Amino acid sequence: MTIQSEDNAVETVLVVEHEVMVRLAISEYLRHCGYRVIEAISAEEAITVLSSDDITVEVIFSAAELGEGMNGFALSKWVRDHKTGIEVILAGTAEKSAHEASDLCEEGPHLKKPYEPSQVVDWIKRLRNLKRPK
Amino acid sequence: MATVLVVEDEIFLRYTLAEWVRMRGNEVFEAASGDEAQTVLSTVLGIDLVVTDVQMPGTLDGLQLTRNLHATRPQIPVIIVSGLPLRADAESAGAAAFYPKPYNLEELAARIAELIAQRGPSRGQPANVGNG
Repeated sequence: MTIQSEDNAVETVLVVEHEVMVRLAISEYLRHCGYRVIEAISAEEAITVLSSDDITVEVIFSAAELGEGMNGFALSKWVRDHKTGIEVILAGTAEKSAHEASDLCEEGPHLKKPYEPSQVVDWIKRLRNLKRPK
Repeated sequence: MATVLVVEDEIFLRYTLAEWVRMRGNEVFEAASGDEAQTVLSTVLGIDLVVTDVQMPGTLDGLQLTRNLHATRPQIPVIIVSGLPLRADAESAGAAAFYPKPYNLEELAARIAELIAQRGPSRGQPANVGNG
């Protein structure tokens, strides 16, 4: 099974997660669901990908907390300021995420860790369906 | 289908190589450092082959990762890729092959397929890879 947009291209999800086993698990699940997945360990790596003219990303699925450097909220803000048409889904622990979000005036995470992988797919489908013309 | 672990800190190289190997019917796990690779090898069953860069952030470079793996799980072949002239170091660490960067993806993929065919895909135990 592959997830295809209306122009028949496989949709690409950029997974941003600094914990390798979490990143591996969700990436494999999304590939199994038919998405093309690019794995980034940090917001900085994600921005490197997003700045490339050779790769088109439809959805970013990012942890809210990303270790050192930019967090998921800052990445979300960067995307909003620099890119159009890319959906961002954040996942994080509620308490820490709320604190980090308040610093950046972003809304809280969409998914609370630990989440079911199927919840990620549901979010991606929901966001993509909202964007498509009726 | 074999399971390949690609260890590379440069995201475009990691993504490109991983996708290339996936397109040839393999399952591929990605690690961005030797430390991440160690975590994957200690957790995931049945890694059939490892392709690793040498210079990466963290406590474990590709040569040490190869030495550790060669000592604990010698049946898992390791291919080392590097921009540095480290063929002799790679061989002494126990690597099955060394490819200087920039490498030819077709050649590297062919070597991966060859080593997997020699070994035969299997589902083993997690590798006990230490820092020493």
